[in-house]
Amino acid sequence: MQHRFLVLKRVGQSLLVIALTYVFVFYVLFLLPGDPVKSRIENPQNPIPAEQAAAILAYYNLDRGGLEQFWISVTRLFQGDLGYSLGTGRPVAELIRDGFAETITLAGLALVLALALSLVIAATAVLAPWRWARGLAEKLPVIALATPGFLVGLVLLQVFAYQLGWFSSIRDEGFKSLVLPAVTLAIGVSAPIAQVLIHGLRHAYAEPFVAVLRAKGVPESRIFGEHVLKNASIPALTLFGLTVGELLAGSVIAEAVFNRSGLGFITEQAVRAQDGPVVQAIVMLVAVIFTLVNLLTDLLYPVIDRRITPRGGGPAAERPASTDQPRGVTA
Amino acid sequence: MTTSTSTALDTSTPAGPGHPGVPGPAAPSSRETLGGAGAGPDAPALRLEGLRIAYGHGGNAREVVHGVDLLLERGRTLALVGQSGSGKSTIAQAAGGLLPLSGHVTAGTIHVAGRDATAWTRSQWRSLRGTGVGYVPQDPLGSLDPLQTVGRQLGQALRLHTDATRATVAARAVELLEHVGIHDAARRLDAYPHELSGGQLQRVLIAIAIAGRPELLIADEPTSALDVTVQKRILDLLGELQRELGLAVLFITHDLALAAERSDALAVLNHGRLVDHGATRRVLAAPEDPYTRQLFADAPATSPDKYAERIEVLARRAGAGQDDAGARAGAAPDGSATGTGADAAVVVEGLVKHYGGAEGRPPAVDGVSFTLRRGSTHALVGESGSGKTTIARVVAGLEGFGAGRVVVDGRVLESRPQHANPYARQLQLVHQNPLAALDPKFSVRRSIEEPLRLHRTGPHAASDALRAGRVREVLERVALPAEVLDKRPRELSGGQRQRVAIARALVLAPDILVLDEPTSALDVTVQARVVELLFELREQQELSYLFITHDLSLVRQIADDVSVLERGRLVETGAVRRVFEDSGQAYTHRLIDSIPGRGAAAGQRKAQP
Amino acid sequence: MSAQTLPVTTSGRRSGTRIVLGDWVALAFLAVLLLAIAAPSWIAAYDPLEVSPGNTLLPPSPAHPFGTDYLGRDSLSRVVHGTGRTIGASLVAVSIGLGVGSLLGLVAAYFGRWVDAVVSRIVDVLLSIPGLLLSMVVVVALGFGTINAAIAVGIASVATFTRLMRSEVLTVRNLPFIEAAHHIGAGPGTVLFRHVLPNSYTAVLSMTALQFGSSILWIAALSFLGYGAPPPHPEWGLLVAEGREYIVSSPWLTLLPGLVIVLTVLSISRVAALVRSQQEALR
Repeated sequence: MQHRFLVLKRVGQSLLVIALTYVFVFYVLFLLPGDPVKSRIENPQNPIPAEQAAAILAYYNLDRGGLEQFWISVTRLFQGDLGYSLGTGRPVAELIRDGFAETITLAGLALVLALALSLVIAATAVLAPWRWARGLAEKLPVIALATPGFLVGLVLLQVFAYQLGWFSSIRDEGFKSLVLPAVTLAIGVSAPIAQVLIHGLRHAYAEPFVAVLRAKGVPESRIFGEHVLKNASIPALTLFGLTVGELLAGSVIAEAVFNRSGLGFITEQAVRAQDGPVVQAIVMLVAVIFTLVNLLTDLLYPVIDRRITPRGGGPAAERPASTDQPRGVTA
Repeated sequence: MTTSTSTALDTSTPAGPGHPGVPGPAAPSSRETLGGAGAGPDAPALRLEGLRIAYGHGGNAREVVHGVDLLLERGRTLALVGQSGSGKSTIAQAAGGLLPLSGHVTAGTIHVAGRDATAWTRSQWRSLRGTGVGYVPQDPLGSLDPLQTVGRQLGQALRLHTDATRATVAARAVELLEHVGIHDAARRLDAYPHELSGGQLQRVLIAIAIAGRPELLIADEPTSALDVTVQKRILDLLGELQRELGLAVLFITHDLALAAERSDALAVLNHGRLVDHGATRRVLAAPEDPYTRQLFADAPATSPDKYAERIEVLARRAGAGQDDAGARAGAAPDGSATGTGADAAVVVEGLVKHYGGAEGRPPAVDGVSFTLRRGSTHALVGESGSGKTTIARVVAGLEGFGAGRVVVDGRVLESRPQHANPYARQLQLVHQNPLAALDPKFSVRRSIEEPLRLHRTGPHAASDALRAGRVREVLERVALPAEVLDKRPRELSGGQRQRVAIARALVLAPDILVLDEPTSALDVTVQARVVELLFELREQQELSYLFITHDLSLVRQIADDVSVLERGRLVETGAVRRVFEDSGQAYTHRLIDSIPGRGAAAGQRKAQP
Repeated sequence: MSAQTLPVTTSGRRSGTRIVLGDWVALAFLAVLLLAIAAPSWIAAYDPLEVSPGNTLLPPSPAHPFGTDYLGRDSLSRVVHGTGRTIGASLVAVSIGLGVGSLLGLVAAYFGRWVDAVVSRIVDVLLSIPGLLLSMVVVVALGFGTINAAIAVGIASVATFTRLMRSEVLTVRNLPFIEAAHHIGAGPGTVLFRHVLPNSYTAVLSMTALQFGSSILWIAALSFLGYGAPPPHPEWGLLVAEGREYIVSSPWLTLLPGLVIVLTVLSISRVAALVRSQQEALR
């Protein structure tokens, strides 16, 4: 009863955040002085035929008040109408549909790679019998976090595509052309996961229950796999939502470096053209995914760790500080 | 599993090799013959010879155990007693093959059931796990994997060390849990550790430790995280299991009285060296080392009458100014306050306190009444959840309350206190953990001076010079050297920190101190010094103490009156002597029975003259 | 991607407060950067905008340690002259994040109730959009340019500081020594300024240093995508982007400016960790 109430409250909170985010993005993109629609129409270098300009003006209702514009935009949203790209004139929904699959494939592969990579690095940093290996594994995430994603991509491209020729730099060779951008993304997002895992593993190994397991005669490999790793993964779980968000945002750069044509590329072009409707739609899509993944992890928590009850909504004050931390630190 | 025929410990040779302070590198040859006995049935359960253990490597190595010899015969209990930093837990870990990787044996040997385990790796140790050595840890709450059910963790032990199969393991686990005294065992199998109490968890851990029927059980402070009544039941259980299974027990504890009560042989450790080692009776009757004697004198359980005379004198002085001069018999035995007259420092009547939002839960404090007489020490005693700390916080004005009346120094408290306490001159609270209660960025000087700066109208606060003088005066009263003034709390020892906290409380010269477990985090010798200080302060000026504690032996030693609390309710209140000698309450009796080492204390007293 | 993430724990665990060789290297590198900002011509011999058609795409040599680009401009000079612009933009970004963010956090923690609720919703919204995308939204609204990119990055880092400040103040305020301060008679203002803030600023300070490193990466990313300074102005991210066309034949044009970015961020996080460990030793 109490439980169900908390879950509902948490779901409600997520919906509220999504709604508020929509308001925020709409306001920033369409109501601030540098209105992209207006500047698109008034752009002297790229004149638009008068009747087309009139059509755009009519569609975006620039002559009406801000509240009314917002209301029209919300109404259209619920009718599945995301508007038209100012740059290409195509419907925004169609653009997104075209890029979505490519980016999701990329992000999915990158996620798998990132999890594997962070696990290997964290295990090495904590368990390797050699001091130098532990030190190196601990330094790698620090270096990765200090390296811009585009540089990672360019180095990979230079070494593995141009020098060694192992992977393709051309975007239409299926899996072969997917690997390098995925690795680029994975290196970036794996660093914080590895750091949280390293910390979690050390913390878990210091727990008294490990001594009890040893005293019980449980082999070290099982202590790691069945007990320590699971306990260490719980703090890393808070990073999951963040990681998904970073993968989607990072695809802008990965797709730019590797000349791919997914959502990231569309975003990059849209920002360059100051194409407000497209930017708005993509940002909202990412925000919804991001918020839902965070909701999901929050709801999964109590299932994985019985000590935790679902987080109530309301001011963030009600959330326990410890589980509240990681998402913010890395955002 | 038969008990060894050899008698107890080497009582005849209390001054064994490598004895007190002599860091002999290895045992002399007289022991060598024993060492060669091999893994026969007569081999002692555990033998340590010249054991030295260090943490770290190379230049950073720090030796914490400096040549320790111990012998534990089969079926016996050897208690290893020491304060924090004595190396007792390190020895326990080494004997159980549980040293962290940074720790290692640098000299000497460890024989477990006759087998030389000194240089064993973790995987070699596994041959002894479960069936050879069992381990009961210190902190039951953190000692089970929080993500797995109790049943699964117990089943793991059974599957590793017995012929239990997937099919039979559940039945065996139930059996074992019942054996260690867990009710409704079948249902408990599906519980997660956080759903059980500390005492229940410790029973589960004992079940895990004995699942493989080991010969040696290493119990590392198995009850120090538990309430006294639970402690007694857990130790009783360990005793029963020991007799039943013929276990040898290495019992690590900081509590000398407890060790004396529960062991055949006793070893006292000080800074990594054995200072006393022999049959418990012998050590009790004639402690060889001054350190052991000091421990006996400092532990309240073994020296209950230490302050009897000073209490009499103080009580007479307090009584002289009042109507009735009866020593240690002030509060009415029925617990109702005798009035709010000038003789009462604090009067609490029918106090009720609920914590917000918890509807169905019983109140934290439920109708408690007692009186702190002026110039006396009134102890509030109870186990965790008894509400004693809540009462202290209400009296100190840190928390509001629901119903009842609280009068401090003749002033009736509002049920919702002000944020900033305007009555700091009347009453001050001393927190349990001084490190947490002192601002880490403040020097000792600033911490003690702050109350004076906040209350500038006082006699000592008007000018910088007066304040500095007052700070030094108070520092002297708590017997701290002037050097500490510019240090930060982190740079002080635990005892020093508590003295700073007391100095800060005293600087405004209040009449009443509320002391919330002021010594519970301290080692027994440090605790004794702080208690001594509290007496000295009372002798210098009239002070009334409301003393919160879970330690009944301390109450008996220092308090005039006592209120016994159980789950937020008052069990009884009255003079200490009456409550201890003539209580009609079953719960009070249970608490008193749980005070460890009452026999030991008697033995001590007989031995002393 | 690393451009938007902030190290959770910086250069691993430091053992003790000793200043080791790595710290000196980091400090020395930052000193060189300061020099590059204060007196770029003193380090770099060439005009960063001077085109030299005869000297295009030269490999690194004593005369041109970082080589020359497709217009024959000295790459080292462009990096050195770009330092001020990139670091300056990061400082602007961090100042916005720190100023607005910690003020919001402090207000939320201090007043609580509906103020806290409103601030928390603002934080939720800002955090629901990944940082890089959020700064892109702001760039779309404000237009391109170094300052606009800096403002965008600043706005995107507000939430981090708000949360940190708020949780630090709330955490510290619940510590027993704060209660002890009230108990000896201190009022809310005294407690806030004498006890709470002095015990909160260490965390905020080290977050500021970390966020400074992140801002450099972030601004470099925006300028790499072409939303920052317009060419031919040298800006670190832009230099990498310009070298990108010649990555096969002249990889140093991308790698060396990239390396400067990496070393800068590493040095900052190293020094931040050093400062923090010194601070903690004082407590």
